[in-house]
Amino acid sequence: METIISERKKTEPILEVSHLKKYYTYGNGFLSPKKTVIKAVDDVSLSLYPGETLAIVGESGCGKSTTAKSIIRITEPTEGTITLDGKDFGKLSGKELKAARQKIKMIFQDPYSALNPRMTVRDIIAEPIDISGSYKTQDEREQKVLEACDMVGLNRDYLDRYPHEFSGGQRQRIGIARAVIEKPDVILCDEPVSALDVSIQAKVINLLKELQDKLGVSYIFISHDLSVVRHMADRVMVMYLGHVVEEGSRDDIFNSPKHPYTRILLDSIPSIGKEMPEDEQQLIAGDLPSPENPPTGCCFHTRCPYCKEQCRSAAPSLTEVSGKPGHKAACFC
Amino acid sequence: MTKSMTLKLDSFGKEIVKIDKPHGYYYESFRIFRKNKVAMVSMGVLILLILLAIAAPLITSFDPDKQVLSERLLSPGVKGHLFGTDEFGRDIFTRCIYGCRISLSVGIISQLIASVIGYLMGVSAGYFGKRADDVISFLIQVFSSIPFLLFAMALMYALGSGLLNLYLSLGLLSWANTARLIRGQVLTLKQQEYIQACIVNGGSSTRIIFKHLLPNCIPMLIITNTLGIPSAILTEASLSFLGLGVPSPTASWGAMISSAQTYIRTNTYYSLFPGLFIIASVMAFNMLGDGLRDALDPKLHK
Amino acid sequence: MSDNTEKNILEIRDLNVDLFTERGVLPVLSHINLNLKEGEILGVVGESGCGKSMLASAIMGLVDKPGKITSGEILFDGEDLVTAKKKHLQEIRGNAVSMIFQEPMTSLNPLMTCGKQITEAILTHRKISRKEADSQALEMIRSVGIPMPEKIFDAIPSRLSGGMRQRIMIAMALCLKPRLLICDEPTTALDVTVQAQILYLIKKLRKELKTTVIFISHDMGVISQMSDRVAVMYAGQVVELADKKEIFSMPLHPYTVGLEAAIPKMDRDIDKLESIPGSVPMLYELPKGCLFSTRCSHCTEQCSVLRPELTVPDGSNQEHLVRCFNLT
Repeated sequence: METIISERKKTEPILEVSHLKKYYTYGNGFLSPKKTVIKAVDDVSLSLYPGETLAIVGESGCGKSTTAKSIIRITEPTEGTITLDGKDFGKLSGKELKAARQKIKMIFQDPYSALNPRMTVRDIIAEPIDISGSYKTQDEREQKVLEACDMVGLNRDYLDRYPHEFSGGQRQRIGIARAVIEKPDVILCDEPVSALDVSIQAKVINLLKELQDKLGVSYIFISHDLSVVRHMADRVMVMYLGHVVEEGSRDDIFNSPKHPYTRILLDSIPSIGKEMPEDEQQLIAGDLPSPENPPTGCCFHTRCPYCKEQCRSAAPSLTEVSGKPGHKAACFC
Repeated sequence: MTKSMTLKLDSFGKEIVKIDKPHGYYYESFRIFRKNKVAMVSMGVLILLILLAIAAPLITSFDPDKQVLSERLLSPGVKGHLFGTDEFGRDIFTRCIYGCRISLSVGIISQLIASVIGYLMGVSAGYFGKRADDVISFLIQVFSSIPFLLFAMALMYALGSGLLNLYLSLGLLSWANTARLIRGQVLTLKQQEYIQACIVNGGSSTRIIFKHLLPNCIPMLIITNTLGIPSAILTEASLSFLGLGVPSPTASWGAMISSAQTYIRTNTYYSLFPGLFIIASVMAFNMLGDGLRDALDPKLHK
Repeated sequence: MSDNTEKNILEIRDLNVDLFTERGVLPVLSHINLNLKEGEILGVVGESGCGKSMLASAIMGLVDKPGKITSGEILFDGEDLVTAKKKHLQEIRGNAVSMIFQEPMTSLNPLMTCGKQITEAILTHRKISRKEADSQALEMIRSVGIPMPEKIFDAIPSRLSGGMRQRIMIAMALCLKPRLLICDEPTTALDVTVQAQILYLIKKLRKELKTTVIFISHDMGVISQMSDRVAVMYAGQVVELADKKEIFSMPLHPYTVGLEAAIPKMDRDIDKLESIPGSVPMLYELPKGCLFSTRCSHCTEQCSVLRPELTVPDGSNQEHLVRCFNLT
């Protein structure tokens, strides 16, 4: 397998997203003119370099999945530009969009709903090339399917079977084969292992890493499981209520987190050998505020143990932590 | 019929799951269906009725429409007339099995028309949403609030009686129910990640609607329209009873009962036999539909 | 505690639960032997389908068709729950033994206010006035750390967040001060920060109420934080049972070893995660010998023919039990 990595300059981002916003507007019924606006993603910018893994972490409702879906245009973003390999992906349509979609793929969370139960494994894996028409003969199609199978370690004998005959881990493999058949530059992984059992999870993680080495593909890796993120990511973005609160290299985030939310998140993960915090002070208080009615000022101030007067009125911007290029946090402290 | 699996590891530690036979969804469904005795009997009855309808000229030597005035209103068994004769001396058994042709074809063809219209309407409403959904949902509401028989009568008046018009008007009448169910189904299917995967791969709406949504809606189409056939048969009978169905002298169960009502006191069997045919076919379709519903339920597949 | 340490509040002896299905009789739990000491937390860990939830159902007397307890005893305070009368079981259930489920929404009545549900639970088992029960319920809501308990008392469950609902669930489970609490994946549906709060709460309350807890989870991290002793389950059997410290520092059963190696670590870098080959066998295709033999790298001739017993391996202390031939 040829490596694509060497052909391209590593310094230029393959995917650049700036000021991405996704607002959902709900009417309050037929007779009420008032509309509720939910800011699912509010001003997210990121750049992804070839061959790297950028992880987006956060709790449910923080907008991490919506970010991915807006980037890949499953839902159309409200605002913002998406540049994929030098092209303005966000503005493309028709044939150009179809062509550009060959470069960016997605792996889904639920291995049960990600595969059409009425299609054979062969047809599922071949769907991207069926759509783009990137083969001339049936032999060529079969060749590509088999290649994808081998890449993800899927037994070739499985191709005529239906998804319901497989376990979660195998289904996820099929989903991955579908994502890599066109050898994309970027793959968005939306919680790819959170529905799997631990022993199966390890296999899928290893497979994703192996594919990255082989294909030089870049991942946006979305997860709420911080230990998996630590294992996979080169860089990490922490999201809270639609905002990025901290971003930096993996070691920055895990060894010297700056934002109080990141710190609490890291403290909250139960892991083997770690004792439970002795007093409640170390735990975060309260619940996620309602996204319909987000707090003023800093989005985290309602739960922050270090909240100051300033935090309630003004929203801190994402600024670089001094002396650490690439490590940014949105906090006044 | 258990699926035996063996688990082995090849030299690379990869899983090899060996399944003796690849079982498709419909194979599994058939396996479950076959175990349902009531449904199997119903299917037997329906196959018998269909065979009767197709092979009618071979089974009986009488002409269904030929009037023999010398043999009017004979009792069953007399002069080789199995079910007796009607007021024009026509063989009732012959007319009953020729009536199968009308009833079964009306039931099945009208429901096929309803399936096509219902699917397209339901999928457009569910998949495209917004304006399309508003308009189609309104149409569904309108069509389901008009009294069925009244509407059928109005349509038959407008189109004129005849078999083709019967198919069409009954099909036009029953699409709303199918469309409503399909719309709901599509709304849930739309959330499935494989639909999103198809979008990610650049798939068009046509592909999604016919390649992904249709195969997943077919079980529901089969069930609702099998259960819709009995009501179409009954409506045809009612329309023919009222003289709005197939034009006479073509044999139809409804029309036969209609003309039999004059003789209901003296020649009870005259109305009894076409009535029995209606009951048998309606019950068989209903039970078959129930059986199919159970068999096609993915929760029972393992 | 001095003399009481040896007293077992719950003893499960050779419990077998089978599923009677089209495919035949499938052993969902086989030969379970567990003892629970008064006041301890027993963690039960295993992957999906290992039977850990069925174990909870069996103790609660909630095994339903197609499942059936085919043999064995569940002794609660010396009294067998398997053979107990239905009425007596109802008295014990919710009173002396109580349970918290994974999804609080399915076990709370969506139409009844939170306070009323707790009051009803109290009134079912205690002969006190409604007013008294109300005040006890309110006190319970306060003790699970809910802000503005008076307001929440009158709220219906759907108005609350997942974390708050789970707190209400806990309040309901603990309102009668049960002696045994079973937690079946109580935090799986919650976010990590909320999970931390709930785990802390369960630990705090059981200390105050001196409740014995069975804590079921698939998450080794959570189990490690919560338990005193840990039982590892695989395909319906307990394969290893030991003190928490011991099971995580020197796991003996190959499955436990593999499970721990499969988790990415927070404190050190690993290039490639270890994984257990194959996947959990379905109940209708269980291997003839040791249930783990098809995936085990130490599998011998003996393993593929005979099923090992849960025993103390050589050189280990009496409290560390393992179901493996290769250790004795």
